[in-house]
Amino acid sequence: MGLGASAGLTLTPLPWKLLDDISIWTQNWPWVPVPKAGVVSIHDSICTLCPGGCGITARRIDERLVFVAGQENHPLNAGGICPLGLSGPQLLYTPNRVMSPMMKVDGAFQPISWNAAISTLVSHLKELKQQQLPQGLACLAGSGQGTVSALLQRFLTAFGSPNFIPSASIDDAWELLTGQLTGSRFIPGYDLERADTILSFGCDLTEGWGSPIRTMRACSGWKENGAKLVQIQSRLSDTAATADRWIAINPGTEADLALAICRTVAETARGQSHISAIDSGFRHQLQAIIKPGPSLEQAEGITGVDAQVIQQLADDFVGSKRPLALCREGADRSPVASREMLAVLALNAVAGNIDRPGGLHRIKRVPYINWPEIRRDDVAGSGWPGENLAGPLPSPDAFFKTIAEEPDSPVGILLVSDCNPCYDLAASDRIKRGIGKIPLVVSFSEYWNETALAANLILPNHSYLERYQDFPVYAGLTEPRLGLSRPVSKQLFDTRYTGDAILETARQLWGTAGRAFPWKTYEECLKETLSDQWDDLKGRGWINLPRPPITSDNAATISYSVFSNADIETSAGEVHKYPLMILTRSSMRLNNSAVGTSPFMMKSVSDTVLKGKKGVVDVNPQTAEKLNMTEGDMARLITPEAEAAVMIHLDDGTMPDTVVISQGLGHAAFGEYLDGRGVNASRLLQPVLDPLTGQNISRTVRARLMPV
Amino acid sequence: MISGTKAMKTKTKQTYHFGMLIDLDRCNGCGSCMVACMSENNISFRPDETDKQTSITWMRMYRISNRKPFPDTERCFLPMPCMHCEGKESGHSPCVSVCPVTATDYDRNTGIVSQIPSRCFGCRYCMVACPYHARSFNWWDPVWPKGMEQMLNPDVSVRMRGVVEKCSFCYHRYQSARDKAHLQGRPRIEESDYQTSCTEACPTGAITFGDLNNPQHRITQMVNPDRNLSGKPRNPQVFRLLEKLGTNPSVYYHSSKQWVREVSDNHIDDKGRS
Ligand code: SF4
Ligand code: SF4
Ligand code: SF4
Repeated sequence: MGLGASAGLTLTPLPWKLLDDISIWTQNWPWVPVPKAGVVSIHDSICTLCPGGCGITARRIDERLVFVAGQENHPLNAGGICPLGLSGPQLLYTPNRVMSPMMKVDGAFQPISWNAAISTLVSHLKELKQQQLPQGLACLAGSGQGTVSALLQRFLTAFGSPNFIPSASIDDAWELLTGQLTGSRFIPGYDLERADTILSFGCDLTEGWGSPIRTMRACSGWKENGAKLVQIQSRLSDTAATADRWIAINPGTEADLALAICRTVAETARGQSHISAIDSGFRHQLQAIIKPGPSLEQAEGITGVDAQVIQQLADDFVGSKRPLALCREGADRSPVASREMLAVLALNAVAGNIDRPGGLHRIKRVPYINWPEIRRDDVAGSGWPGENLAGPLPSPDAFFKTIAEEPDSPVGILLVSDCNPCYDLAASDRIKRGIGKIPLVVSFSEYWNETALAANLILPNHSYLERYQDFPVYAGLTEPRLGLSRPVSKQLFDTRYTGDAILETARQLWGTAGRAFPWKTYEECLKETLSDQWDDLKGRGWINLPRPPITSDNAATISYSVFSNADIETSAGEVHKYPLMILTRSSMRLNNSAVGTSPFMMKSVSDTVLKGKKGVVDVNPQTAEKLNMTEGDMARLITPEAEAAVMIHLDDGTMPDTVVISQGLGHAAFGEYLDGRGVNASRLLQPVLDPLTGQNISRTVRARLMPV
Repeated sequence: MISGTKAMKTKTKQTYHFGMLIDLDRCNGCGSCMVACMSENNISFRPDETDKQTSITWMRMYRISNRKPFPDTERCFLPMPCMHCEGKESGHSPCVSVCPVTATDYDRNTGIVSQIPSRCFGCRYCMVACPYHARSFNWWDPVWPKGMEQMLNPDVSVRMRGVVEKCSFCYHRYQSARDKAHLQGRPRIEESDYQTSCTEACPTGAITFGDLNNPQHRITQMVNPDRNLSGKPRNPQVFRLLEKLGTNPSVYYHSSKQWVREVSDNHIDDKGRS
C-alpha cells in the first residue's frame, strides 16, 4: 500500500465505523451483569468490624446494599472510613458466608435445620452434665464486651463452668495493671487532638491503632496545627514515613527507651514537681518503675539510639506544653508487654499530663449490663464454677497450652464466637492440633474461616450488617461511647443471632423456668438491657458513656523484678542458629480478624507484599547481600516454630538483620480470593506469656533465611 | 481529526473545570481511596490481582522513596487517579488525541476526560499514549462470584472484556449533582454537591476536590493556579506530575518535602512502586 492508500484509510471514516459496529456487537455479552436500578435509600449504623466503632452509612438500591460509606456527621470518623469498612457489600454478599446451620459428618459439612443443630448441642451438654463435668464446657469469645459475650458467660456460669475465655484486649490488661499499680482500675484515654509533642513508641498510628479513623484524623490534624510526632520504631513503617521524625530503635527495646527518658525527665525540676503532684500510692509505685530504668549510656547500648538523641527527646518532651506518650497495641488491640505499658504510663506521669488537656486521661469502664446476678441455685448440677483453666485474666494461648499438655482434652465442648484462633493465635499449627483434640467444637461464625472449618457444628450468626449489636468503644478515646449497630440489610440466609441460639439452648436444657434467662428473644434482651437508652441508640447510633471520677488509693505492690529484663517478648531461639529477627507489619489493606480480607482489599495490596501466591518479606539490601540473595529470590524463612517459603523484597527502610512480614495473609479458608495466598505470620511465632497479665505478647521471633 | 482546538475560542459561558489536590503529607497509604473507588465504580476483581500490569484499578497507589540507606530512608505514598489532562490547548489530552473512535473525550464543560466503554473497541492506543499509566484494559470478562453481583451500583455501567477503563472523577455523581441543582432551580452546582467517592472516604482529608474555575472552592485557593501557564500552581509546595510534558493535568499534589516534589517531576521508576 502506498502513501495514498494509507492516507485514504486514515481519512475515510469507513474502517472506524466498521470497528465501532464490531465493538458494539462483541460487547453485547449476555453474561456481563446489568445492575438493576431502583429506589435509593440511606441507612446509618456503626461498623463493628474492629474495635473502632466508626459510624457508617449504607446505600441501598431497593433491597440491595451497594455501598458502605463513613457516616458524615459521626464524631469519631466524620465521613472517613477504612478499606475494611468500605468492603461491607462484599462481606455481606460473599459466597463465603455460612448460609445455614452445618454439621460435620464423616469429615464433610452438611446443612441441617436449626432444630437439629440446637438439639445436637443440647444432647452433648446433657452428657457432660451427666458425667458431672460442667467445667468441660469452655467458650472462646472475640471480646469480653457486649451482651452476646455476657450471655455466653452467663450460660457457662449457669451450666457450672468457669471457662469463659474472651480474647483480652489491651484495655483489659490496662485495667489489671492500673488496678494493681494505683488501686483503681482505669484505661488510658489519649487526648490526641490537643497534644503538641507526641512520642509514639512503635504505635501503628496510621495502620490501625485505637479507633483507627479517629487516630488517622488526629495525625492529619497535627499537620495542620503544627504538633510534632516522633515515631520510635525498628522499621520505617507507614506511620514512621508520615511522622515528623523517625527514630530507629533495636527491636523490642521501646520500654527501655521510655524508661531512660523517664529517668532523665524525673531528674529535671519540672519532672520533680510533676511527680510530687501525684497521689502518694501511685507516686511510690512510679518511683519503683523508674528507678531500675537504664541510664542514658546504658539505654544507648540497649536501644541503639544515641544518648544525646535520648537526652534531646527528654528535653523536648518535658519542655513542651502538651506532651503525650503513646503505647503500642498488638494486632486487633491485643495487649503488649506490661513492662512497656507501665513505662509509657510512667512517662506520661512524669511529664505531668495525667488528666490534662492533650494528655493521658484516666477512663473508668462503666458497666451498662446490669442483669441480676446468677444465684447459686440457678446453677445446674454439680456446683458453683471454680477457677478458669485459662488463668485469672483468661488467655486463649494459656487455654491451648493446657489442651496441648493433657493427653485427653479436659474440655469436651468448646463454643467459639467471633474469633478465629486457628488462624490468628501464635503457633497457629499447634492451635489447630489442639482444637482437633476437643470432641465437640461449636462455631457461631458467619464466615467459613479456619476455626469454622475445624468445628463439628456451626450455628451461623447474622452478618454485622444484618443485626443489632451493642458495642462499647473505649479504644483510647477520652470520651468513650456506647454504639449500637442496626440492621442495614435484610437477612439473606438461614442465620440466627448468637444470642438467640444461646437462649434457645438454655430453654431446651432448663425449660422455660431457666430463671437466669428471662428473655424470649435476643432483641428483647438487648432492648431491656439498654432500657431507656434504646431509643437514643436506635436513632443516633451512639451515646456518650458517663465518666465517673477516679480515686486512687490502697495501691498493691507489683513485683517489678519480673519485668526488669528486656527481650521477654522474643521467644526462644539461639542467636547463632537464628541470626535474624522477624518483625510483623500491619496494614489497613489487610485484615487479621475473624472476618478476613475482602477481594477489593486484596486487590489493593501491593505486589511487594504479595506476588501471585507468594508472600513477600522485606529485607535490608545489606542483609540480603550477606545472605547472597536478591530482589525476587525465593527463600525458606525458618523459625523455631515453623517454616515458610517467602519471596525477598529489598527495602531500605528495613533494619539490617530483620525480616518484615505482613499480617493478614496465608489463610487456609475464606475461598479462592484469600485461601493459600501468602504466609500466615502467626504460624511462625511462638506464644510468650506476660508475667503480669498472663497474655501473649510475642511480636518477634528469631529466624533464619535459607536459599531454596 | 477530532475538533480539539476550536473549542477554546467558542467557549462562551463560564464552565467548570474539576480538579483534585492530593496532600502527600497527610496521605498514609491506607488504601481507602482505592477501595472506595472500586466499590462505587463496579470495578471487577479476580482471585489473583498481584500482576499490577493487568490488575484493573482507577486509583493506583505508588510508593516513592528517597533511596537513602537505613535509617535515613524516607518514603511517601502517591495515589494516582487519571490526571484528566487538559493538554496544551484545551482538550488535547494525550489519550484523547489518539483515540480513533472518540471513546475517550475531553469535556470542555467540566474538564473531565470521559471514557465510554461501549464505544471503545480495545485498540489500547490511549494506554500507550497516557504517560501516567492511568488506564486499564479488560483482558477478561468480569465475573462476580455467585450472589455478589447484588452489590453492583446501577449508576455506573459494568465494563466488558476488550475495553479500556479509567477514573472518571465519578462523572455519574456530577450528573446527579447537576440534576439535583436543576430540580432545585439553582443555576450551578455547589462544592458539596459533587465530590468523588475517594475524596469522601479518605480518612485523613488528604484529597480535595472541586472546581478550579471557582475562586471560592478550597482547591482553587490551595493550588492558586496560574491561568497564563495552563493552570501551573503558584503555591510552591503544590506540583503536578511530569509538569514538563505539558499534559496540563487537573490533578495536583502537595508536599512539604523537596525530595518528593523532585521525584514526582521526573519519573516514577518501577522500584518505587507502592
Ligand atoms: S476503622 Fe474499624 S470501625 Fe472504622 S470502618 Fe474500619 S473496620 Fe470499621
Ligand atoms: S484514602 Fe487518603 S490517606 Fe488513604 S491512601 Fe487514599 S489518599 Fe491516602
Ligand atoms: S492521565 Fe492518562 S488517561 Fe488520564 S487524561 Fe491524562 S493521558 Fe488521558
